[in-house]
Amino acid sequence: MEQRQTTISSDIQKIQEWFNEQRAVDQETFSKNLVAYLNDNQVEDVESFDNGIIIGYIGDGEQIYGLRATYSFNERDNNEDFISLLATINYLSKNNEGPRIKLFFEPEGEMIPEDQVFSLKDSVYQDVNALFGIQFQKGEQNRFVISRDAAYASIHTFKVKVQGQGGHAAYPQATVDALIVGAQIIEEFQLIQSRVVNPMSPTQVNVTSFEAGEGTYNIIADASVIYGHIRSLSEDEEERMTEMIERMAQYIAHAHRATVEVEITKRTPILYNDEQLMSAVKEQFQKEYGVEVVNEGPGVIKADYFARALEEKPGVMINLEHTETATIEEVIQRGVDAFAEFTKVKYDRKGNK
Amino acid sequence: MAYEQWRKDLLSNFDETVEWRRYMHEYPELSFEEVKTADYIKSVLEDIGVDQIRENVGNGYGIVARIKGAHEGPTVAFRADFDALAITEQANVPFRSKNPGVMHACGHDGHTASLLSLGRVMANNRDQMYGDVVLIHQHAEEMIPGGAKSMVEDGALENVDYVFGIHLDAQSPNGQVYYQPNFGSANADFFDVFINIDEENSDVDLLAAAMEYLSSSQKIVSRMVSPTRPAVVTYSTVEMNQETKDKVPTQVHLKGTVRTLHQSTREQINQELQRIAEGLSTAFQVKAEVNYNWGYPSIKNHATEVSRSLGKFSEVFSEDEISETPVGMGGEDFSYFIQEIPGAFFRVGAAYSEDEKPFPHHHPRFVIDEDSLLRSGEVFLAICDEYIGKPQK
Repeated sequence: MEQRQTTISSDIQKIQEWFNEQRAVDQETFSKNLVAYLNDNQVEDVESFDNGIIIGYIGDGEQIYGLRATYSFNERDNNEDFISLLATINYLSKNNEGPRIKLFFEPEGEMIPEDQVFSLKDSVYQDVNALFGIQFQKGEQNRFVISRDAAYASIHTFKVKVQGQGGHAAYPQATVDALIVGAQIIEEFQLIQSRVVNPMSPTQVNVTSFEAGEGTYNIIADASVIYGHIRSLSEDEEERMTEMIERMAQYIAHAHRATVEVEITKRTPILYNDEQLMSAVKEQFQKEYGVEVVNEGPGVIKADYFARALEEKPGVMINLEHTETATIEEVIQRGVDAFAEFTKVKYDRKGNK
Repeated sequence: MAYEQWRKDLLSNFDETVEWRRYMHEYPELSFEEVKTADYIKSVLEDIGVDQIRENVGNGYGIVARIKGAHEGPTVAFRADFDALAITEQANVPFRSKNPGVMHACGHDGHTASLLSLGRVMANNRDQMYGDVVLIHQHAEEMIPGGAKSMVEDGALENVDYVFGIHLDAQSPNGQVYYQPNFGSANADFFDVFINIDEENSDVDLLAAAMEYLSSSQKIVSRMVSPTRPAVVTYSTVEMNQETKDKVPTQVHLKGTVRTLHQSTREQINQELQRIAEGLSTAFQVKAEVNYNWGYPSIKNHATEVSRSLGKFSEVFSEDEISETPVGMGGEDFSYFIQEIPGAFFRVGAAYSEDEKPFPHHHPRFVIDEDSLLRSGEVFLAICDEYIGKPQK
């Protein structure tokens, strides 16, 4: 397959250099700099919000299509989709004859930070008719993958606080060891994925942190805290898993004479692509790139809080698979191609869900 | 019996004993930092008029003093420790600690004052001594490697035939004397388990592997060690390297302690911990390492010395004041002395009788009934009477 050239590589390099300079600055400065960059590149009505979202518009048209990318200051994150969307601006300002485009630059994340939850009613997504996003992943060949059902996983975080009875390490008989009770709970959680959920349904229980003890060697911990999250592509399994987290924690603690407090928070819903929009995207991409490299595929266990936006507005998130050997510029070029292609999708449903 | 005369001297020295104890209580110092405490002890020993003083014995500020009897005979040593703990005192006493964040919360100030009082009494009664008394003032009992081992290596027990020690017990009523015919404390070892990513398998869940390790090693006590061999494996702290609590850790560090009585059991537990680490590394494709730090060995009392002491106690204390107490799983570096020569370690009750639930040792509100200093002195004197109070047969 021959790649279509929607931009030139020197543009990509310039944008990469610009972004690398931004990595060292704080969020506020970055937002300001990005607003300035967008204004310099003829993006209209640019606005930035406290939660790190920056928006702007390109072109005219009755319909408004939202293109969304994320940014991260993490050194290991190449920010391919972000660079791609910036690189798409130049192309669109010359070539777009379709809808008015609304650009969304959002902080990268599987979950919206708890202290930054924003209301989606009166949200930044309100005026759009359709939303589009991309994610990159390595695969056997360069292709576009769209999931018809649940495309990205949900995330529920959990926090389990175990209260025991501390004491001297030499006298376990006088204590209820909160570290050991916590460890038993963590061990038991491993059985949720292997014994409780439907093996056909992708799920994950991750315990990511465990706090117990004050750094000493000879004091039995009075309390411990377990942090983790569950991922699911099915609401049914989601419910079973959250129920089991609560049940296992309560009963294991009870069995060991400890008490427990369980907090489970829904952080990101399952991401569902809009059925009608997805068919339109698939048709457009297949027309441009051929049926063999535009496939439907199963959902992935990653999460993206874009799912929250797609609860409000019809949208599609597609996976851009690329081979191991693809260079970063090639990967970004494919991102630009995809964003450009979204603007050509024929879709006339009114935007509200 | 020489004891009766000596006890009168002990009683008349009691006010001074309490003063010594309160002074040390006000100016506590941490293990290996007890410079001023050692100076103070030395000045009291000079005032008492002992025959020899050796300072800086061992790896810190240990002091060994000798009082020579007028008559030939064996040498009996008594040991008292003098370090304090990193605790901010909250006890409601007029002589509260004046050194911020440091407290005598284990009664070592009481041990030391009692031993100085013994020195005062014996120095006044050399003509009745058939042998010598050695006072071993030991630094740094609370912190590994401790002071005892190095004091032994530095000759603290040279020309000493027997060694005795006491520990105040604020959880037991004042006036009581407790003995343990066999073990007097536990082997107190410490260990670290590090679970690291094996570079080739960077996706492995280290926390899940760590919990497996923790869970498997709880079966050492329940399934591997003989039920007749007391053993404790406690994990006290879990630490991990991670960016945020949402991200999986890149290292898990478990800290724990092993308590046993028998040498063979502690060796077995070390081996089992190592073996489980090897198995875990293979099973989970991680790098699990155990650093086992050998702490204080258990005190093993000498049967003859326990029984000789008890014989004398039964003459000077009433029957209901002496009882056997089960050994606990705490550690004590007095063991290094008693490994070398015969001796015994006793416990002396120090709780106020009106206290229904006394605060435990190492608690910020830990207190002792100072009458226990008198009882400790009596225990020392009874042992002196047994061993050097009359001509040897």
